[in-house]
Amino acid sequence: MKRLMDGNEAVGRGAVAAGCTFFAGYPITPASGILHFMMAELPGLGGMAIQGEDEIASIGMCIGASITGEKALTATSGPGLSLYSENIGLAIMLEAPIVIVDCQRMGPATGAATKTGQGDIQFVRWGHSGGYPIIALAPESVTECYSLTAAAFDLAETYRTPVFVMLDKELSLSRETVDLEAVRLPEPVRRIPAPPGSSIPYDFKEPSDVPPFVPLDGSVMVRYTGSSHDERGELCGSKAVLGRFTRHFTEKIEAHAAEIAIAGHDGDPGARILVISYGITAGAAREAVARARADSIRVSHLVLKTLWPVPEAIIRKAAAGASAIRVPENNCGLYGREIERIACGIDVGGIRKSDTSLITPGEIHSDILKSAERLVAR
Amino acid sequence: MAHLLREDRLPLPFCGGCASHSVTRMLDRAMESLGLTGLDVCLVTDIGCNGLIDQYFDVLSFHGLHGRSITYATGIKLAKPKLKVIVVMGDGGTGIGGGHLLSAARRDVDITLVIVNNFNYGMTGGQHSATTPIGGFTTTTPGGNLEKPLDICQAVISAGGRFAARTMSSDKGLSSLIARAISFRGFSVVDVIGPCTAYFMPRNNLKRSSELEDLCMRLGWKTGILREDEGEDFGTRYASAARKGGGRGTRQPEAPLDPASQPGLRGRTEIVIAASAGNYVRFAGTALAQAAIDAGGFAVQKDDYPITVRTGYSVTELILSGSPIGYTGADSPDVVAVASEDGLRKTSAMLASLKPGALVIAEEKLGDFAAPAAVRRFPIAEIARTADRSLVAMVSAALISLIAGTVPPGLLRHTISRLGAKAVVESNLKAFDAAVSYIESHPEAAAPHAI
Ligand SMILES: Cc1ncc(C[n+]2csc(CCOP(=O)(O)OP(=O)(O)O)c2C)c(N)n1
Ligand code: SF4
Ligand SMILES: [Mg+2]
Repeated sequence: MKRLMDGNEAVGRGAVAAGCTFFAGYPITPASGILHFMMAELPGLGGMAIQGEDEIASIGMCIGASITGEKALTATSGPGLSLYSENIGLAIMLEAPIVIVDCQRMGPATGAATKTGQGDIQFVRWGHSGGYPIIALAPESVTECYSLTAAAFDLAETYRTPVFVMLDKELSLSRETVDLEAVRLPEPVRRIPAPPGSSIPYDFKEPSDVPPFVPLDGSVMVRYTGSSHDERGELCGSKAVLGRFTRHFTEKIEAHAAEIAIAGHDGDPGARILVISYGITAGAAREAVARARADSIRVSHLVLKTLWPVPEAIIRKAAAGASAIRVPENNCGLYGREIERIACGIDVGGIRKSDTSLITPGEIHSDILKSAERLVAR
Repeated sequence: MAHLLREDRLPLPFCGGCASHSVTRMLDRAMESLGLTGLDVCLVTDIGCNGLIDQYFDVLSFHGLHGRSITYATGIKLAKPKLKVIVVMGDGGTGIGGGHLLSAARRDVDITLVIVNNFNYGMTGGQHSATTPIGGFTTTTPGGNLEKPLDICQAVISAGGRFAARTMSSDKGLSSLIARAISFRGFSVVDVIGPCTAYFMPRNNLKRSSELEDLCMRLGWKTGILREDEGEDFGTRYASAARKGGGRGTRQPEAPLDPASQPGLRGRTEIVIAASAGNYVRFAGTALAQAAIDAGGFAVQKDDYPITVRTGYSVTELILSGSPIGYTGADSPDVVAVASEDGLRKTSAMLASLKPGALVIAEEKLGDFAAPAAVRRFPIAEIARTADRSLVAMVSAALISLIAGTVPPGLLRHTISRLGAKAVVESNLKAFDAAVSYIESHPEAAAPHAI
């Protein structure tokens, strides 16, 4: 059934569909709608929703619930994400699955609270001490707020890691036409349990393996610590063990980058221009590409849904044969640098806007035209 | 005899005479006296010397971040109510996590907090903490502390905490006090005063732990059980609220019309309705958008109003389209309805840059404005008055439908009728009907505008 829905509600519905049973969050525009939805819905579904006294408490409660085996969600915007930082590191260290929604607004600091932006793209990747990988997804529509939030839970459970869902003010608060019943979600994933009786929370052979989970729920003796630890969760300072764990934190995500990668590719094998978009810029880019093709310009379009880990293989494949890559972003070019790194040698640029307004199809269209002219001139 | 202590791990790592020695022993004895097994208890520790103790217990344990242990304990307890959740934290953790302490007291989740209060940060080298007395010498107060010490129990009590107790780490009754706190159903705090023999004691020329008792007297910090009140803990309150349907549940809209029986929508149309707070602007926009969806099309709606929601302008932006909408920006409106002064102020720049061929539907009493478009004036407020003078946005929506033909008026009326609370629907239908009869009786105003 088609109806109007905003991205925040779709996130909440996606979380519930994925089996989320715990929510804690602190009010902030434009993320509050998720808090409101979960406070209204979860109690009736047998779950727990709570408004924390601040963002630190909210994510702390989520981590506590997650380590007992619950699927936990929290949602915030830039200022709150800043307060999450230390606990994001804790979730990585504990290997506690948790889904964190970042409804981006224009920063820094309080910024333009009710205006949109995509300025947190690198912040979620690097916003904890240590610099270990995380997973981040970026929906481009309200329908995808639903399906990718569900996917985020599956990834969090599969890899025992924090997963970010990157909305922005535009997606959070705009009401689009959706038909969620028509979206087929895969069967929700549950973290793999350790063999019955096992007390080892970090039992992995290869550094890239994801250790089966031991819940802190009273069924079996287990200890969890945010300090450096060994396989049994015992405090540990051994160079060999800690080296193995830090490789594990990196490889359990990066070795699975191909499985985590989600993208939509609208390729033209003869195109010399490739547009790469994500999140709220994707819709405008799609229209711009259609207009450029109507002008007989050959152009391909890659829409990234997984931002972290960078879907390098997909980008490389899409960029094969391209002489110019255009990456429109509602920030100062924060993701373009990842593309530049991968597509080394190919000219990377595009509309970069952080004045609170959306990038329009017209702007991307003329950027493609200019790029085509430059290629001809060369 | 140890109960849940890991004998193979002993001795404990603390300096001789450190308060954490006795707290560890007394906590073990308390769990023993309650007959708790290691699987009944989740011990949540903080960062600090005292936070090392989880490693010496055979209980479920969680060692998190500095000052945040109450938050993890809250999540664990709410998720697994059967566990006895015990937090051990220092005066340092209590200071940095002070907000969590007050909130825990107010929230009243059934967890027990044992504070190892040694008047300074032991682990980081004896700096002053939230409980260091005025004049106290620490690494960071070489001339004596200038800040007033926090009376943790009083803070907990004034925040509504129902169980607060204080005693000395040397008190033989400490284990039974901790046991009593664990048995208490609700948030319970035991503030254990004891020595840091490495820093605070020698720096302040304190020789025996009994001298800390005198210090408490001088600070006016009472000992014993300072409060133990009946009441309901958060978990109990949450469960009964949920049973009563505390979660309101979100409203599911009624069954839609059969789109096949509805006329299709044209290409993309962008509409703006601008009025004031209290004019049900969002509702009117939703009616148009939902009508477009009921006609088998697609819609996007965005609302704009000041943070102080009951004042000033209220604007809704709509995109209606026969095909899915990719780009959700509404940069080039086809129709703008301006129904109040606030709405005009907010949209005057937009009006001035309208594309030719656009339509403006404006309240006739509004002053002049620049708009390179077709401007049609209506007594919008006057029409609304027959229903409710606040409903100028619905009159505007009806005029848009009647004149610009974006969605058929009959369909719009039907959509309004199933959109929300009865009273809101009824008054908005009245406003809609008022617009229809105005147009019927003013055929000259009814000329359609093709957009
Ligand atoms: C966010 C953060 N800031 C600072 C520290 C460093 N730190 C470790 S323990 C500690 C103080 C501990 O004092 P207290 O809680 O009184 O415990 P004690 O060592 O006295 O038992 C500090 C500041 C930290 N771990 N985390
Ligand atoms: S430094 Fe102080 S708090 Fe830490 S173990 Fe020694 S006496 Fe105890
Ligand atoms: Mg201390």
